[in-house]
Amino acid sequence: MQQNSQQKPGQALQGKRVAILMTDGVEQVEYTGPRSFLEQQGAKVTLVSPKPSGDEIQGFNHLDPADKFKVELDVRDARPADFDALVLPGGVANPDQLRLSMEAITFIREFGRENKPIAAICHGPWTLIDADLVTGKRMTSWPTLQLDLQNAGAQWTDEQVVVDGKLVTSRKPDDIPAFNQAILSELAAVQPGQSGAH
Amino acid sequence: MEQVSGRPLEGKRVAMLMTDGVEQIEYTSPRSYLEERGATVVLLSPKNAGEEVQGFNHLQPGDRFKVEMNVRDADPTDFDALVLPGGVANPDNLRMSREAIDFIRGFDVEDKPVGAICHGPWTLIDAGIASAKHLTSWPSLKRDLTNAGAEWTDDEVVIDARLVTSRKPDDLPAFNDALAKELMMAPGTDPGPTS
Repeated sequence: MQQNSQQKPGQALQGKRVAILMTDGVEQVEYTGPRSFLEQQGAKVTLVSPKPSGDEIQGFNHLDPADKFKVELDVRDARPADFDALVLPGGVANPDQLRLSMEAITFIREFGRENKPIAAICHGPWTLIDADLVTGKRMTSWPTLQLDLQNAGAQWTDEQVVVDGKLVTSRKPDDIPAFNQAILSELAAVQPGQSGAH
Repeated sequence: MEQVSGRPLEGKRVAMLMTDGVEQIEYTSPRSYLEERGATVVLLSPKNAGEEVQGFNHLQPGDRFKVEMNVRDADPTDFDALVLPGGVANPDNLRMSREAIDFIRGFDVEDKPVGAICHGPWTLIDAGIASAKHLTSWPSLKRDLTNAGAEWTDDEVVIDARLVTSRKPDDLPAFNDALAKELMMAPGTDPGPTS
């Protein structure tokens, strides 16, 4: 696997399907950054939410309401078997609401069970606590989550990107380039036909 | 609106600690309730006195509130109680302020009443107050509070020792009543059985 951060747009992720799970309050650059990167690499990206397909999600730039994004698939209708990886953007209000959606948490947990890549940035890792996926994991997040993640059994560290098994975590928007590269590495390592196994 | 008779909280000083993202009704409601009963309420923040805190109505930006004292300049011994409103981004920001967390911890050390509502109880984890406490909160915090050693229940108001917690804006009437009761029992005015 080439570790060139200047990697040109290509088809390295041709045929790969990525779910981005989010709702109102999402830090929008943590959605648009990974989405455009993954699409440039050939992946097919789907915006999944506890809101119905066609509804809009209110993005934020920190505390300022910004753009709206159309939901492409209701998480109730989404099957982890149909995706090769899951991305969890931040924005404090976004995971805070996802934590109250049983379907969202179950969807996340399934990616862990099927040992598929999960990438969470900023406040995104909060839902991993509810999905029982942080115990014993080396990971990072926005610093306010440090104690919550440690209390849930994680080994928290302050690095721009941390990869432990199939879990990729980053701290903040500035880390998006490293976060994207780590997702690319994880996804490129997924063999064709490996996904969807029961 | 309940008729207020007398000023049972006359002379009491209450700190409200908050910053941008505060759920504004969880600030304005306890403040006016306590002030109607005679208490002096001070808006504290990691921001400077005179700066403004951006309130929210859920995800919609609402009113702005002027900071009355920077938490760096505040001493828990100057207050009889602390109130921590919610609004998801507010405690999330406070958790990164060492001065804010130390200030909260000071109320526990001095055994003074602390009221926290909705997302407000998050900072109690960092202040080391949640452990072994019976409390409630907005339900998204349940797992974090439980992992920090708290016993979490789904009630409109929970009182454990001097800690008063509630879940959401609908609980404000019960929250405010419980705060006032704790304040009236606070050291200084409680004559006590032996005095």
